[in-house]
Amino acid sequence: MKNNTASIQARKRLLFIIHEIVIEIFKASFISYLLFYLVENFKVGLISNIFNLNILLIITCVSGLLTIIFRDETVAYKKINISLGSYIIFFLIAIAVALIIYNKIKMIGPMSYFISIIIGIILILFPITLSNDQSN
Amino acid sequence: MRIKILIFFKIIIWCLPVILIIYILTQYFVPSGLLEIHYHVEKESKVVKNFAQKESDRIIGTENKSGNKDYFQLITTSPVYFNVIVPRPFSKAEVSLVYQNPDNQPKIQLGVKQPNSAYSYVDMAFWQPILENLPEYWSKIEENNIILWQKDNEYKTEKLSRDLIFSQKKNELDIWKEEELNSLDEKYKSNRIIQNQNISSSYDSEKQVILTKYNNELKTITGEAKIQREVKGQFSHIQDFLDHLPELTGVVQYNYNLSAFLEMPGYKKSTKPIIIDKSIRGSHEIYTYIGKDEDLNFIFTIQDINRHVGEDPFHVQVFNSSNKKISDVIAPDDGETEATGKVYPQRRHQLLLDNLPMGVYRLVIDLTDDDVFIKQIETTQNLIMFKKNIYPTDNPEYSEILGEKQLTPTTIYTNSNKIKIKTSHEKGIQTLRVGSEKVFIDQVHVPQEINLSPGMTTIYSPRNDIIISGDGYFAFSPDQFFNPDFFVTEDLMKVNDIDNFNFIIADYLHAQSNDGWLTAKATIEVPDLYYSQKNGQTMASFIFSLPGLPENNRMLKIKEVDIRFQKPPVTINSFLQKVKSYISNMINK
Repeated sequence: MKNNTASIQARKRLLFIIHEIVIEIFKASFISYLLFYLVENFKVGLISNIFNLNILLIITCVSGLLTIIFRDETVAYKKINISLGSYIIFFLIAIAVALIIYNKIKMIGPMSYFISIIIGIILILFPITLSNDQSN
Repeated sequence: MRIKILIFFKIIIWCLPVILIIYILTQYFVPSGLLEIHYHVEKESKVVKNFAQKESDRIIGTENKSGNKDYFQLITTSPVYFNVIVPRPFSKAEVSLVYQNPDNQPKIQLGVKQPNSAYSYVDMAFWQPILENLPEYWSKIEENNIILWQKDNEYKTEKLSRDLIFSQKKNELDIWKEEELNSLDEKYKSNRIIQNQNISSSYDSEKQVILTKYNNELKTITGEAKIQREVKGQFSHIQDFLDHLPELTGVVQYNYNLSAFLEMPGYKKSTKPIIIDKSIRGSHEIYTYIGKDEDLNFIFTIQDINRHVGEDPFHVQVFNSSNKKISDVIAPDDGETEATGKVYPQRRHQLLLDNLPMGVYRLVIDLTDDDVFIKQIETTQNLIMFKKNIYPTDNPEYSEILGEKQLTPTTIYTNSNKIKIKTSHEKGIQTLRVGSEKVFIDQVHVPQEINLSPGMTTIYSPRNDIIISGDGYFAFSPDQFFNPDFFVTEDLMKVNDIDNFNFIIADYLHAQSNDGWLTAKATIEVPDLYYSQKNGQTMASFIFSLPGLPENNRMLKIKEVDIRFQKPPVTINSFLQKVKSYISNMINK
């Protein structure tokens, strides 16, 4: 009986470690991919001539899947508290995405400003709506 | 403990993208100053594009041997284009080509595309069967790709004599061997009816004695035929040879012009300056000759008619007989860049180069359009010819440039076999005399093609304002004509029997051989190493020129191309300088 409990505990610890590692891999690969994608967008060849971005994309997707597979089911959902740091990150990501979109559609003319600004605003407001949902 | 393990793994995980970023930054900024690119023909490359795109089919093969993975691409067409994407411009590139040359392609050149879409060439490798298979009595001195072969006539005489003796002795030995073996066969013929083991082994041992004796004798006479001393040349260094040139009828040159060391036969320096006061217009190419202790001295009087939009700098490049650029001078535009027709005062530009070796020099006057008039050329050279085209313009059409100048007909001399003549203005419509024929230029912008008899032809133009182009040279006086292709020595390509000569001097780049593959190298530096921008990427466009392909049905097997780009490495000082200049540029903008 005691042995069963100990092995269950060990298994839980291992799962927890794997889960944390996989989440970290996911975060690192996702942010790296976004960053490299942004750079490649503005300076073609800077990344793609040296490194295949698809490798990073595959790591992101696989690690993302693994975070779900190794999710610790016994942990209850807790309320997401979006910190100031997270807001800043969201804000920066929103700016980056808006710039990428503008760069891709600028040939359509002044409308590209409007579209990219709207999308940027939506992304900036996203964490605010998320925390509002949570509080509701 | 668990937390510590997690922190450890998290650090490693986050270090990986940081390492990747550092790697990408080093690949982009290349702080070491050295970027190496390796292209294998069987693999796709991210940075080498459009390799051999002119080939109708991309044929990749290997030697027909088990396990051989030396892939090559069959090349049947020239040139072989390829583009190389680089992260930033480099000042120097060393290109290596690994290949096989089964059909003895004599010449491979490396070319780099220039801003005007022309290519600047550098030799990579030569292959001449005569030079590759010279008999052993030719000694060889090699200094920086310049090779001097010298025939040792005494060695040759002795060798021929010994070869003759050897041949006679070998003949006699072969006859003796034949006779001995025949006698042996006769001796044992009658005894073969009795199939006896002892008799058979006795025959073999006697035969072996004969063959052993034969081989020993052969070794002896072969040793006697060898000349014990080494092949000797008259000169121990190439500079000795150049300083004390022997009888030139015994000298052959390949890709090396000795005319820099000897004056053109019959050449006399001019005692007073020559003035060509016939105005000409636009780009021209002038050939001239410099004798011993003579400077290259040209004074151009120019004026801009400003009939076209854009700047009109006066750009003159000077090349020597080896096609190496020795001077590049640009005089700026007169300040008027619009097509206003406004004419500013004329300007004089002197091109003076001293301490030049003797030889033929080429002045390329490279202008953006026909706005610039060269109203007068004053020179101390007495041999001046124009290649490919000449555009005399003493015509009322250009009264704003020519002013009160008395406009007289022009006589031009040419050795072209075929010429084209046209005018761009109504005032240029006229009847010319070309040799003994009359040629009526009755339409504007419509060229007339005329075939000429071999030799010198005069072109008489009463009204000028005609563009004459041809496959030869043009001059304003027959005395100014000369043969720019004169060689003081015989060219290897025209030699029937190399044994009639005693010396061969060659600028002979040869490829290095390694494991069945040849490696040819060439280096190109700025300003010839030019980079273009395409789709936001920096690119250098190269070609391998294989003269004669595909007409002569030769082919080349290319295995790989390696390019080493070099620039000064990044130091703290250079980095700070760049940051300073970047900031000051931003402020100035």
